[in-house]
Formats: sequence, structure tokens, C-alpha cells
Amino acid sequence: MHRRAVLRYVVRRLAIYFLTIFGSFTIAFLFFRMIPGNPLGALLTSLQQRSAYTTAASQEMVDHYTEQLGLSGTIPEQYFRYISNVLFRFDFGPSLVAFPTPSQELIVRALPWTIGLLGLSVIISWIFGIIIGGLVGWMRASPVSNALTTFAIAFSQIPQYIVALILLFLFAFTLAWLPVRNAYPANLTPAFTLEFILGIIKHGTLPALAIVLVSVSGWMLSTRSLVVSILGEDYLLYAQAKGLPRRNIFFHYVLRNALLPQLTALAISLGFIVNGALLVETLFNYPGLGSLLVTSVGILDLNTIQGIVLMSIVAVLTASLLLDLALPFVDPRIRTGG
Amino acid sequence: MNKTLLDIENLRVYFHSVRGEYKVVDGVNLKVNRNEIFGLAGESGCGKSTVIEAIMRLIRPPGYIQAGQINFYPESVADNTHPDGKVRQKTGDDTLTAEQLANGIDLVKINERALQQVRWKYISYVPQASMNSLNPIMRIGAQMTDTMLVHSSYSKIEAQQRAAEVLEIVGLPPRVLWSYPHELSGGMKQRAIIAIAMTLNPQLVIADEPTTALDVNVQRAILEAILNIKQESGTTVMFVSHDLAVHAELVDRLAIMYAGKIVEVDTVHKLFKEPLHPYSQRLFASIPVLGGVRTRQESILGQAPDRLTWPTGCRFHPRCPFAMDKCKQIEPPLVEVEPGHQVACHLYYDVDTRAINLTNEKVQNGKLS
Repeated sequence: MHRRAVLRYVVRRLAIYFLTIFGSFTIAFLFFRMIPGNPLGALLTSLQQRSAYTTAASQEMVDHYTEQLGLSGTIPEQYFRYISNVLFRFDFGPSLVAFPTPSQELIVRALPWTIGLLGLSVIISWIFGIIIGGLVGWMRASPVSNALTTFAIAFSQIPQYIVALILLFLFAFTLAWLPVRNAYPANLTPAFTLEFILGIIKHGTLPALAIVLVSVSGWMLSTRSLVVSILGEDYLLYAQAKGLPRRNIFFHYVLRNALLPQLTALAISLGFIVNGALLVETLFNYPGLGSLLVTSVGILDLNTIQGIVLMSIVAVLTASLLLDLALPFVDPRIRTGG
Repeated sequence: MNKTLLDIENLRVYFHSVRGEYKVVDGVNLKVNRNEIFGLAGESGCGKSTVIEAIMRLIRPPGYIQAGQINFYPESVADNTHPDGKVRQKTGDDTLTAEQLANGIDLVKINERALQQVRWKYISYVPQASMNSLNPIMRIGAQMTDTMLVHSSYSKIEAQQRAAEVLEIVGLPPRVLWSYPHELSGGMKQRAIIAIAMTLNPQLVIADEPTTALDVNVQRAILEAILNIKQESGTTVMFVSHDLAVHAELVDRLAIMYAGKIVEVDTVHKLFKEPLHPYSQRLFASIPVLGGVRTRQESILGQAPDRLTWPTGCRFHPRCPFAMDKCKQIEPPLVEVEPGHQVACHLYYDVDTRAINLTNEKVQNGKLS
């Protein structure tokens, strides 16, 4: 491909990327302003409770907090103030969930847990799903393969939180092999020690398993159907006619062709992990973005909600941007286009 | 040395369906001689490609080989040596002994591993759908060498040299080795496929309509490539096409197929000059002749029969102008009526008296040429 063509492609793609972030965030922002209810009320009530006084808040106080939360002025004013704060100072505004800690601090604190839990779960289920799905499709006539497919169809339809509940009941309550809640043992302070890391793994196993069990079936089914359609291709019949060993055909002709669309799907679902796994995280009291989102929605913590939405918009779009830039290196057919 | 390389006996390939069995190939008998180009012609749906797929054992469910033998008599090549004379390392897939190969193998019966050994090293294949027969994400070179590395003692570099060599024979530059299929034109892909078929100097190359859907220039290039290869290595070629002009140009002997059976076999010259079977006669009469008076082309009356319920007796009888009562009841056998000329028709062979009658009045009078 010509150098200038590459450059033009990258520049155009980047421009689209930033415009999409801007546009989708603007829509999200406007939607939040349309939600009925006043976040201020919740804040004032909690402040009153905290300091145990009963007098109603003065107008001065209300104005002060309105200003501080970024809720003063008209909606366009609020919007531009918010955008410039985020862009130039990476300031998402104070949170309500843990007032007055800034929202970005809460998000940054929750992010590694979510990325760790979901990133690993997604990658693990992708790898297993592709391997199992590939084999199941390759040997689609065998009874084992049929049984696995039936099983996967059933499993992929069960919501993650139901699986999580079953796992919790079995392994945490009944057998008591694994901890019930939290991301690490309560008696340990976060540090880079073996004990602490083992604690994280132990606590992460059940929520990860709940996610993996469900999404591995999804990956498996989609890989299976890709493989089955590849088995009908002329190039596969030809590979057989060439007298290639079955293993060679499976890896070089079947799996490699099935991998390309699955790579696209992986990038997209990695983008979505920033949303967190709302129910699973809440169920296990896991300190990720999902739990944070649930709590902040409960008290209409606009700054935190907006921050999380912005993060996930950026994540999804970045994933697809990286994919667009990387795909030509993986798929020779895209190289000459553009 | 046996003159016959491939001997197909009573081959039947059926396809299951809810409506019944489709008897697509229903009792085919064929002999392909060493070092000839053997043509197989017939209208669409007569079972040409299915015969080919049966030889390659590529029939996929719901199709299956119901009966028959496909005996293959390869020349015994020193099995473990490379063209250089280097001894080949024994690999696990050598299940066919030299003795077995010398006595002939029935391609219908051999197991999967033996089949793998026969494929490409002894018999190679140029598929009908060559446009889609290359793996879209593998370079042409890799698709040429992968089978060579499995079936020979070529090293990677030797295999690549050999690949470049065969590409040259079919008129493609060596850079094609590094191309992906989508970077080649249809004609180039077709030639690459023919090159792949030649990589290991197989004894039989089976080409299924390799020139169909290509314009005449490319067609010519491909026919020349096949002729080149034949002259170069003395490979036997089995060539399937519905295009009689292509057959006239290329093949030595020609078989005409109709409704899942062979109806006539002879050298291509003889067949074009004096076809005996009424179907062949009409087939050749349908070729337009350059010059002379413009006439409406003769066509064969009626439709090709349904594969689910072939007509009884001779399958051509509903469309045959010479049909007799006998034709509706008794299936005519394929009989050699003169040296090298086989035909399946009651007009020339009396099944009761076993008498051959080549000067049948009716046919002489009804002849269209």
C-alpha cells in the first residue's frame, strides 16, 4: 500500500474516532440532564446525617453545592464547563458516592479490578471458546460434539448472575472452598506480596468463572458455526484432495480462516469490559466499575455516572480503532484496499 | 506393462434425499490408458463431475459410492527416493507397499491413510471451482509447498524451487509464489491450480472443467499449459468438459456420458467423424460449422431426464428418433463394436444374438450430417 494512502487512512480514521467520542458523549450528557430528580437533595440529606444536625440547608449552602457539583447555569453552560474540565484538567467533578472525593479518583481506583477480572475472563473464554468450538465444528458428526453443542446452547442463554448465584451457593456456601465476597481478604492491606496476590486470585475465581462459563459457550457456538461454514468451502475440499494430513487442514485452512472474524469480535468485547459486569460485580461485592456504577446510579451521582459512561465510550471506540488499524496486518485481503 | 492406468468398473454414486435416491452415476465403465489425454463429455447434470469426485474419493454426504471399483495401476516408482536419488525418510503414512501399488489399488476400498498417500503423489486434481479453491489467507507458494512437503522428501527450499518451476510451465512469473489468491485474476488462479497439480509429477491429473467460465484467450493458454505438461512429463490427463471444441483440440480419446452412464467411447477423430450413438450424433450435429449455408442448428428433442427416476431400458429412448420397443425395456450394454470403439445402443448390438451390426439402415438414413 502506498505510504500516503496509509497516512490518509489513519488520519481519516482518527478524525472519525474523535468525532464519534464527542457526539456520543454529548448525547449521553443530555440524557442525564433529562433524568428527573435532584442529586443535590441526596447530598444534603447525607451531609445532615453525617454531621447530625437537623436545620434545613440555607440557600447559600444549596448554591455552594450546586456550583461545586457543576449544576449551576443553563445546560449549554454546564456542558461546556464539563467538557473543558475533563479535557484540560482531567477533572470529572466531585462524586456523591464518596463526597467530596473526585469522581475520576473513584473510577481510576475501580478500573484495575474491572479490567483484571473482565479482561482475563474475556480472554480466557475467547481462547477456550475458539479451541473447543473449532474442534466441535471440525468433528460435528460425533456424538460428543453434538452433546457439547447442546450444552453450550443452554449455557449461553443462562444469565451470568444466575450462574454466579449457583456457583456462590455451591462453592462458597455449601462447600466453603472459596470466599463469598470482596476482591481480597479484608485482613490484608493491598501490597505486592504473594499472600495478597493469592488472595486476589481466590476471590476472583468465582466471579470470573461465572463470566467465563457463560461467554465461553457464546464464543464456542460462534466459532462452531464459522467452522461449519468453512467446511463447505471449495478450498477445503481441495485441501483434502491435496492429501494433506487432517491436522494440517484443521489449523491452516479451517482455524485460521475462522480466527479473523473472531479477532474482530474479541476486540469489540474487550472494549465493552469497561462497563463492568454490573450484576456479577454487585453480587460478589467486587470493587469494580460495575459496582461503582450501580451505587452511583442509586443516588443519582451524575459526575461519576458521566465519568464511567465517558470511559466506556472511549474504550469501545479505542478498541475498534485499534482493530481497524491492526486488521490489515492480519488479513491480507484488506491490505490492498483503503 | 499394463496399458490401462485407471479402470472404472460399474461405478455407482448415489445421493440420499427425502424424495429417494438420486442415482447420479449409475453404472459407469471406463478405461483410461497410460500417457493419453482422456476426455469426458456430456451435458450438464449427466454426472461427469461426480465420476471425478468419486475417483478422488471426495464424495460428501448425502452422496456415497454405492457400488463399483476404481482400479488404479500406477507405475511402481521407487517409493522412497527423491528425484535427486536421496532416500526419503520413512513417514508414518506409508501404508501402501510397492507390491500393492504394482498390483493395482482399488480407490474405492483403500483406507483414509492410504488414500492420503495416493492423493497428489499419484493422482492430482484440478477442481471445477478453481476460483474458490485456494485458501484466501495463504500465499500461493505456501499452498503449493504444503502438499509437497507432506508427500515428498523435498526440503523447503527445494519445494519452493520446484514450485517456481511449475509456475513457469503454466506461464506464471515466480512472484506469484508470494501473492495471495485475491491478487490474481481468474485465469491466473486457474493456471496456479494447474501448477499445483503438477508439483509432484503425478501419474494421473484429473481436470474437471478447467476452462469453463474463462474467455477463449485464457482457455487457450490453459490448454497449452496442459499440453506442455503432458509433453514434459508424460502424465496421463483425464479431462472433463462439456465443450466439444475443447475436446477436439486437446484429447486423444473421448467418452460421451448421458444420464449417469457412458454411451460411447472412441478416439476423438473417429468420434467426431462417425459417431454411432444417436445421442452422440445429435451432440456433434449441434456444433455450428463455419462457412456454408446458414441453417437452424439441430437440437435434441425433449429434456434431460430426471435423476430420481431414470427412464427404463435405454435412458435416451424418450428423446431418440430411432427408439424401438426393445429400447424401452432392455438397457443396452456398452459393447466394443469395432476395435477401440465402444457404444451402448441396441441399433448396433443385438443382446439376444450377440450380433454386431454396424450398417444399420435406419441410422444411416437418419444421420444428420
